[in-house]
Amino acid sequence: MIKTNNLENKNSVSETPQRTRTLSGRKPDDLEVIRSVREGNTSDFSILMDRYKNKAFSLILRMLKNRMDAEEVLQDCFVKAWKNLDSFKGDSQFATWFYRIVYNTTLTKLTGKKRETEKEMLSIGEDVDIRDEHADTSAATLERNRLLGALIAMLTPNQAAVVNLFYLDGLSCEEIAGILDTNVGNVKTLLHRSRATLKNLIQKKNLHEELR
Amino acid sequence: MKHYDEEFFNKMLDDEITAEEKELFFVHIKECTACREQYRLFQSAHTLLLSLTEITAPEEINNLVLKKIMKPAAKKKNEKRFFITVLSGLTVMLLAIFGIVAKFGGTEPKGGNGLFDNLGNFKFDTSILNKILSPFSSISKLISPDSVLLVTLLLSSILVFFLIERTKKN
Repeated sequence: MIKTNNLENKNSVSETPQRTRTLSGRKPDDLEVIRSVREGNTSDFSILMDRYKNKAFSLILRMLKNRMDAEEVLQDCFVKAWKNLDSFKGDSQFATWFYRIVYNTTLTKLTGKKRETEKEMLSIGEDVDIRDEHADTSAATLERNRLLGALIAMLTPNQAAVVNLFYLDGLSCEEIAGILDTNVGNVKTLLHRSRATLKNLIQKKNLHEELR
Repeated sequence: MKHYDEEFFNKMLDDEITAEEKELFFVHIKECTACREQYRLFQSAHTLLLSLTEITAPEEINNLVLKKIMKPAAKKKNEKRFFITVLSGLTVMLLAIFGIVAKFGGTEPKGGNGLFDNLGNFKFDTSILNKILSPFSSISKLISPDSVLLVTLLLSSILVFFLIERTKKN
């Protein structure tokens, strides 16, 4: 299948000379940025935020299906990541470590919101707009985004997380299993069910020809 | 006729099917409309998911987060600075007391020059120290010149260690 791994080599340690006070003006890898933040250059943390905020926001919003809550959780995730940066040993990629924080924080938020909210969301599922307002606005793209928005709204938070991490972030099922703290089999089941849900939606609405 | 199931279609999409199985499948869907249709639907779903895009996070997120994390960082830094200042002050004070006692202490001349007596031994008298500490006479009895020297050296070492650490971090 056509799938790019955007996170490859993101944590490669480069042999760079001693850094100056901040990393501004260069394109350092994640580990370099983390080292700089640990040395006291707190503002360098914004490099990591710029790198991951859209991807994290996509994951949170697709799981929560509520923009305001998603914005709040995104802030919490970055604050948590900053507070726990010392516990990041570099054994895994920063992205994987950070996504684990994002996933768990979002789950905690969902638990806090209780089941009523989830039911409410499912009932208005197809009307929930979680499209990117800055995205391409051509008719075909709008239709695709509308369909995708409808699909994601119908998925459970775990299915939405798997679909987002697999298709948007290009992570493997093994990496996703690590983030969700589950086994590869479960990840595959969630992915297959998500595809089946979308397939049924396409079939139900006779969108097969339109999407060709 | 045996039909293919959803698990097989998913495996097809994930490229987890052998070449032989694929060949058999393509032969099958030439004849079987139901399987062909199901496979096409799965392909459409897969293609649609591949077009999943990033959702842009609010622009102000960086400032909001930095505001939250900068406050504790500054507080932590100030606490550290205060600790180092207090420690430095204490050490300097003790060094000064030690210096005064060593230089001017003692009412009975022991001879020699400056800080050393005729035999070349370090000249140290606790009389001034005792005067300073007279309100705490019981404590002053416990203090010997050796212990003052030891404590002073210890505190000086701690001060030097913290100053080095601080310089390294900056």
